[in-house]
Amino acid sequence: MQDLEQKYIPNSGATDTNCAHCFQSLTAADKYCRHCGFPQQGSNTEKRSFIDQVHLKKVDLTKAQHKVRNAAATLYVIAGFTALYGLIVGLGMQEDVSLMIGNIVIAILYLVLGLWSQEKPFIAILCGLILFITFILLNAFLEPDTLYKGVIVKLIIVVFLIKGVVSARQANRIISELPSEKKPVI
Amino acid sequence: MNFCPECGVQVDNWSAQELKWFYPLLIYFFLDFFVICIYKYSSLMEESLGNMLFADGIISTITLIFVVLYHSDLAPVFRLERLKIIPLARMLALLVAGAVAVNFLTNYISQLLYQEIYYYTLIFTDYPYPVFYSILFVCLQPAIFEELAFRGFLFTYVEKLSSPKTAILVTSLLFGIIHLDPIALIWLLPLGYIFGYFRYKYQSIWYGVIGHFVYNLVILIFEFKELYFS
Repeated sequence: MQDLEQKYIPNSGATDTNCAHCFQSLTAADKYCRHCGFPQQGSNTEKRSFIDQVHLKKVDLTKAQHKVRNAAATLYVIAGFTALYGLIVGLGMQEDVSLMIGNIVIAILYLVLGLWSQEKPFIAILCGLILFITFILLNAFLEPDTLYKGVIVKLIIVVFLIKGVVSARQANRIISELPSEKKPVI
Repeated sequence: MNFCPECGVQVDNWSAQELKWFYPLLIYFFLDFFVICIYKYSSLMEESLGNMLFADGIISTITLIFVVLYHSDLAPVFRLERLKIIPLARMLALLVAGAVAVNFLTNYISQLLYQEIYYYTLIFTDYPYPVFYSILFVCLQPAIFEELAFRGFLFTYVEKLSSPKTAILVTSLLFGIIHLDPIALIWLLPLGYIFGYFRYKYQSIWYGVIGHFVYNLVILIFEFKELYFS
C-alpha cells in the first residue's frame, strides 16, 4: 500500500495535465480522469479507494478469465468425445455411417468454437452451449432414454459452459472499466 | 472518453443495453426448436398437411411477434430501394449452382447411407394441388420467416452486440442448427453465410428472402423432376 501511495497520491512525475494513474492528458478543470475515472482532484482517501477498486477488479478479471479458459477447454473435450463416439458407432459394431458423419461435423463445430473463444469468448462459448443443449434435447425427442444417460457429465459440461458465458461477460465488463487492459471483445 | 470528468461515472458502459435484449432471442430460438421437434419427432403430431400447417403457423406467429417487438431496429432492412439487380443476380447464380451441387450431394449421401432418397414433398402428393403446397411450405414460408428471424432480428442484435462478421457467423450457425440435421450443416453453414454476407453488405433482408426462395425452389424442381418425370 505504501508503494501505491508513493506512486499515485503524491504527484510522482505526473504533470498537472496528466492523470496520475494512467498518465493520459487531462485539462486542468477535470476533476476525474476522462480515460480511467481516477479522482485527480479528490482527497487522498478517494484516490486510495480508487486504486483499491482497480486492484480488486484485476483480481476479479483474472478469476473470470480462468473460468473462460475452462469453458474453452470444455468445448475441446466435447469435440473430442463427440468425434470419438462418432468413430465408435461408425466403424464399430453399429456401422452407422450417417451418425458417424453427423458426429464428426458437430465435433468440428465444437473445435472451431473452442478456437474462436480465444478471440470472442462470450459469443463462442454461448454458441457452444446452444449447440450442446440443442443436440441433447434433440436426442431426447428421438430417444427419451438418452436424456438420463450420462446426466451427471452433461450437467457438469452445462455448468462449465454457463460459468464460461457468465465469466466472459464479467471479464468484458471489467476490461471496459480498466483502461489499461485491452478493449472488450464479445 | 470513458469517464465523466465532473463526476467520474463511466459514460460508455459496455453494451449492457444490447445484451439485455439478447436473451429473448435465445428464447425465440428454443421456442422454434421445440415446435419443430414436437412436429417432426414426437408422437403428439402425425406427419400430415394439417399438422404441418399448424406447426408452421405457430413458428410464423412467434416470428411475427418478435418482428413487431424489434420493429424499430428492423425497419431499415426492409427498404426495397436497397435491393440492387446486379448483386442479386450474382447471388442467385451462386445459389442456383450451390443448389444443384447440394442436390447431387444429398442424393449421393442418401443412396450411400440409406439406399433410398428422401423427398420432402412426398407428403403433399396425397393432396390436391401438390405443387402449390410444396411451393408454399418448402419455398415461401421458410424464405420469409427464417429470413425474418435469422437475417432479421437475430442478425440485427448480434451485430449490435458484437460486429458484422460475428453476426454473419453466429446467425449462419443458428440457422444451420435449427434444421436439426448434423449432416446438412455441411451446406447449411455456407448457405447461411452467403445470406448473412448479403444482409450485411447491402443492409437489406430482401437478398436473403429472394435467395432462400430461389435456392429451395431449385431443390424442389429437382425433386419434382425425379418424382414425376424419372
